[in-house]
Amino acid sequence: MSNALFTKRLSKELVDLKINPPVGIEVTEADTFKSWKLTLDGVDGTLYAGERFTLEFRFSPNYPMESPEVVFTGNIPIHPHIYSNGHICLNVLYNQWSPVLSVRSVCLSIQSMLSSCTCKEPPPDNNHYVKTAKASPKQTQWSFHDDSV
Amino acid sequence: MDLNSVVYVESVNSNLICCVCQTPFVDPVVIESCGHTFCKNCITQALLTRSTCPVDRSHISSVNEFRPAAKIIVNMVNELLTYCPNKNAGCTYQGQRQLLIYHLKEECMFAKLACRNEECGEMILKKDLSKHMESCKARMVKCENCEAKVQLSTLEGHKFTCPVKNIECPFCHTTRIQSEHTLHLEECPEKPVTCLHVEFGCSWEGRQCDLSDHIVSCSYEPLKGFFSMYKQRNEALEQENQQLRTNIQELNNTVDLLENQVSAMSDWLSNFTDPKGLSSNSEGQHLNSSAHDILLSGNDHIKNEIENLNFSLVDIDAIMTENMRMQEEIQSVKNICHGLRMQMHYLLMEKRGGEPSVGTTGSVVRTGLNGPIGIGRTVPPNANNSKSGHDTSLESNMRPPRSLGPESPRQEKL
Ligand SMILES: [Zn+2]
Ligand SMILES: [Zn+2]
Ligand SMILES: [Zn+2]
Ligand SMILES: [Zn+2]
Ligand SMILES: [Zn+2]
Ligand SMILES: [Zn+2]
Ligand SMILES: [Zn+2]
Repeated sequence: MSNALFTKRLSKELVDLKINPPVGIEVTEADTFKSWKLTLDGVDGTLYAGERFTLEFRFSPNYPMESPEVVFTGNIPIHPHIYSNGHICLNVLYNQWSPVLSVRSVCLSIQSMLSSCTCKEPPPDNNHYVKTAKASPKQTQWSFHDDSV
Repeated sequence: MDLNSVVYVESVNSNLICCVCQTPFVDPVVIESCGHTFCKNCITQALLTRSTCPVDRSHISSVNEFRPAAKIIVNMVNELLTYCPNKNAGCTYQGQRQLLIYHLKEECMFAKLACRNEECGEMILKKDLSKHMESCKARMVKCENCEAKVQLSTLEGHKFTCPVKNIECPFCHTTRIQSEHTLHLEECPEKPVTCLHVEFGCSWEGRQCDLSDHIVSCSYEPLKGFFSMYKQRNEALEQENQQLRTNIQELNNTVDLLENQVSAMSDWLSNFTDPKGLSSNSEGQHLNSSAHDILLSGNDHIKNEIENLNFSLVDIDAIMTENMRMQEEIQSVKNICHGLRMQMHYLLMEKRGGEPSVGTTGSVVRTGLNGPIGIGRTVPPNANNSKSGHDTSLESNMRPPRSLGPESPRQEKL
């Protein structure tokens, strides 16, 4: 049942993303229900205007009850909440996940996080984190102090 | 059946969509504390991961905290129009979602059902099922002897072990199932048998159980080595004989063929020897029509020759007739000559003084008067030559006319 819900929901989401894509977001790779790749364009009038980034989503069979694993790959945006290994410090990806959230809503959250940035700089603990972090950001014990950015 | 995978005919009001599965509610329930509605299954699963409302993240302590959604919500989702899940297989049904389970179970001909025969295991469209059951390789059939129901594939095997189909041995009158019957016949002690050497001449017959005793005393037993060798030779000779017969037959055929050819040849040749063959033997004519043509033209040529010869014969006849007439003329001239000689003889006798002999004088004179001029010319030289030899000269004068008979008249004419 959970597996049926998982594939059913993801195929529904994929159709929705292809038919009605959000501005600046495009699915580039979705051959399986294990992982997808999407491009995210920096919004005009922001620090990231004209830049294009790639997000990778990895789903567990318990999706949408469990959050997907979301990281930047390739060109990593310089942002106080984005580490240079692609990990993103965003609460909805971890403890604030809810099954009502979706690939689309996560992309929109990240897009808005970039857009609201006022100073392009890496997280202060970037070097230390990148050295110690595990491959999956979901294994990191995140603490979200700075919700305003 | 999973109502979450149902395809709806029309787009559905977003208020009826569960935000976890993002499809119209199935079994909608409401969380008491916050009033949010989800599919019962969706919220149950979500709570296993995290005990908060998926929408507002308010804490939910236990499953007891939700109740069924309002009747109107339940009715609205139940009455949504759906397609039959077997649409792709060919079902054209559209109906309220709540009737879908009934349709699939009772009505849909495109539902796949497992064949009722467990060993078969095939999944068959409902519309094809009854047809399949008639021909299913795993269907049960009744053994016509013991009435037991056996699977079709094992029926043949059952016939050998069927408890009812017992066969009685015709010799010892014991009964057994079919599979053992053939084996029993081989070794039934009561079965009548002949001696193993029956082909060599032993006439012993008896029960199979007595055969071994007989063999011990059978007089053919010690000779069996010789007999089998003899038999082998005989077989080889028969084979050779057969081969020779075949050869003779082939030779006979060849002779017949040659005879036919010879008789055809002689028939053809008879066309040349037997003239009737030209008309009667059409085969001969046919065989060499060119030779026939040559013969015909030769025949015509000969006919012409004969005709020419006939004309010549007529000519010869005319000549002969003339010849005869000439001869007669010559004869009369001879007679005249004779008459003239007699007359001259008479005249000579009369000139010497002697009386001419009487008798033929009168007639001689008369003939002498017929030709005095011609004779007068020839006579004087003869009369002047000599007296003594006149007899011989007269005779010599008479000879030439005799020998030149036929030619002299012509010389005279010329
Ligand atoms: Zn709620
Ligand atoms: Zn649901
Ligand atoms: Zn149907
Ligand atoms: Zn079957
Ligand atoms: Zn039987
Ligand atoms: Zn017997
Ligand atoms: Zn014998």
